[in-house]
Amino acid sequence: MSKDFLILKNVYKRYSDDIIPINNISISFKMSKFYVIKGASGAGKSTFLHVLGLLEKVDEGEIIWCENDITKLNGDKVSEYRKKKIGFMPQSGLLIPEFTALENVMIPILLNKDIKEAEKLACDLLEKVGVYNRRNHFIKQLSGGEQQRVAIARAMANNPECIIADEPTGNLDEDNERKIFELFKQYTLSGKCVICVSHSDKAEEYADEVLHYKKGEIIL
Amino acid sequence: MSFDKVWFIIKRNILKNKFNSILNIILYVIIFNMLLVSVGVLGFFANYSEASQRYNRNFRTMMVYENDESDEKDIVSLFSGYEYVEMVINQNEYCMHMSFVDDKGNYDIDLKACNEKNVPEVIYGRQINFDNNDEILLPEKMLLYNNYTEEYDIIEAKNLIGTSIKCSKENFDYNTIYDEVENKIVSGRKDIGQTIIDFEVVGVYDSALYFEESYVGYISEKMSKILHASDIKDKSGYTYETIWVLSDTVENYNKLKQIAEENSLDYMVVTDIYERVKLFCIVGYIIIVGIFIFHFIVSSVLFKIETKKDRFIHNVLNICGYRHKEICKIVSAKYFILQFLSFWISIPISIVLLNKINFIFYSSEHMGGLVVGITPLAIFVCLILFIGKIIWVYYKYYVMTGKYTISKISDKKRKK
Repeated sequence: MSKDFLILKNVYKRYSDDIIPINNISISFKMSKFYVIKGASGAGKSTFLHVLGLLEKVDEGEIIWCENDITKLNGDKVSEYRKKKIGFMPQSGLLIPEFTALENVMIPILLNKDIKEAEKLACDLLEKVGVYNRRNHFIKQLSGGEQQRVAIARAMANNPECIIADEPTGNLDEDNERKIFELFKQYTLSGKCVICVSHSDKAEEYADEVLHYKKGEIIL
Repeated sequence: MSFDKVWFIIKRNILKNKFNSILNIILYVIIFNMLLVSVGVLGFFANYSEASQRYNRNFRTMMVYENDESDEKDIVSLFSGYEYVEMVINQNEYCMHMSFVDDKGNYDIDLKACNEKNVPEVIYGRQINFDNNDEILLPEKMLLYNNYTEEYDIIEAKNLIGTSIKCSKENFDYNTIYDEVENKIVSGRKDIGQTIIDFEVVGVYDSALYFEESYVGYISEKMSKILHASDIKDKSGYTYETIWVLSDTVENYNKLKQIAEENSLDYMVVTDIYERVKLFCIVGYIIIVGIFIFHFIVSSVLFKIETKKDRFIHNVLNICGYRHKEICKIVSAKYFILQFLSFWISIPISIVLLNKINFIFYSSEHMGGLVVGITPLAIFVCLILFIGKIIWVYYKYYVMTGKYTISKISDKKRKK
C-alpha cells in the first residue's frame, strides 16, 4: 500500500460569500494512482487543481506534500516545487504558439539541463507521446489531439512526482481521448501520481479512483 | 540561467512576431534619435557656454554701414564668409590663399585646406571636396586677409571652386606653386568658360592658431586684426556698403565705434552674442529635458505594451517552474536586444541629422556660425541612459509580483 504523499486538511478557498470553489476539503493522494475528478462546470474543479499545482493560495487549511507544509510557501520556493515535483497541464494545454512542439517541451527541461540535453530529452518525450514526427511543427499546425499530447509531454518533462491535468481531453475524439488516458495510466505505473479533471466517461475506465466534485466539496 | 537559454526562449518570440518587433525597433529608433540629437545639441551648448566662460570675453557684433538707404543685409552669410576665409584649417596644416581677377573685374577665390597627404579636410563637420568642384555656400562679399600686404581685401566670392595644391610651410616655393596654379587652376577655368586675366598667390601660413583651444577663442583673437583694417578699400574700385566686424572686448568695441564715426559710417550694435547664446541655451535645455521626459514616457508605454503581449508566455513559464527572477531576465533580455539594435541603427541616422543641424547652427545668426563636434558626447550620454534604462526595466518587472495567471480569459484571448 503506497503512502499518502499529498494531503489537504480543511482547505477553504473563497472568491466571495457566494462563490466558494473549495469548501472545507480534506483529502489525501497516493503515489502510483490515477485520480479522476468529475463534476459540473463551475463547481470549482479548476480552482482545486490550481491550488494543488500551487498556482493559487488557499484561504484556510493546510496542504502537506511529503510531510512538508507547503501552504504558505512563496515565490521561488513555489517555483522550485513546480519545477521538480509538479507537472501542470492547464486547460487546453496553454502551449506557446510561437514555438514548435519540440521547443514547447524543452522549456521546462531547460531549467535543469543545457540546450542539447534538453532537446534530446524532449525528443524522447515526444516519441513517447507519439508526436515525434511533428516535433518541428508550430502549435497551430498540430491537431487538437497532438497539441494535448505535446502538453502532456511538457508536463512530464522534468519527471515530476505528480501530474495535474485540467480537462486534458476536452474537444477530442474518442481515439485521442483513449491515447491520452493510456499515457496517464502508463505514467502512474512508474510510481507517479496523476490527478486529472475530466468530463469524459472514458476516464473512469482508466482511473484508479474517481472523485466527484460538487459545490466546492469532494464526494468520494 | 545562461544567456543561450534566454536567447532560445526569446528568439522565437522576436522572430515570429516580426511585425511587432520591427514596429518596436522603428519606434525605439525614433525616440533614440530624438535623444541622441537632443543630447548632441546639448553638447554643443555646453561646449559653447564653457568656451565662452573660459575666455571670459564679451562678444559683441557690430554692423557698420556706410550712409545708405538699404538697411537689410544678409548678416548670416557675411558672417559665415568671414569664417571661411579666415579659418579653415586644423592644426599642423597649411592654408594657401589665392586671389584671382577675372575678365569682368570680379574677384574669385580659391582656398584649400589640405594636410600633407593632400586630403581635403573636414571643416566644422562639413567636408569640402575641392577636387570635385563642389560649390560652397559663401556670401557675396568677404574679407580676405593678405599676408604679404597685411591688408584686408573685400572681395566678391560667389563660388569657391578650386583645385587642391599640396603645399606646406617648410617646402613652400613660390615659383612651383605659381606654376602649379597656372597649370591646374587657370587652365581648368578656361575649360569651364572663365578667363583668368591675373592671379597671385598671396600666402601660405600656419593657421592652426586657436582652433584646438576653442573656436570661440579663435574668433576672439581674430577680432583685433580686423579692427586694424579701418581703411578697407576695394582694388577694383567697387564700393561696398557693409562691413561686418566683431569686437571681443569693450575697448575694441569702443575703438571700432570710433573708427566708424571717424569715417562717417553709420553703425549699429546688433547684439551681445554671448547673452543671446545664453538665452538660447536655456531654451535648449528646457526642450532637451522635455525630450528626455518624453523619451521615458514613450519607452514606459512601449515596455508596458510589450510585457502585456508577452504575459501569456510569462504565465506559461511560471507554470513550468520558472522563478520570477528568471522571467525578469527573459523580459529584460528581450527589451535589451530590441533596444540595442535600435540604438546602433540610431547612431548613423543621428549623425546624419546632427550634421544637418550643425549646418543650421553653422549658418545661424544666433550661434554666430559656431559649430562644435557633438556626436561622441551624444552617444556617450545615450549609452549611459540606455544601460540605466535596462536596469530600470529589470527592476520594474522584478517588483511586479504575483501577477501570473492562467485564467480562462487569457486562454480565450489567446485563441482569438
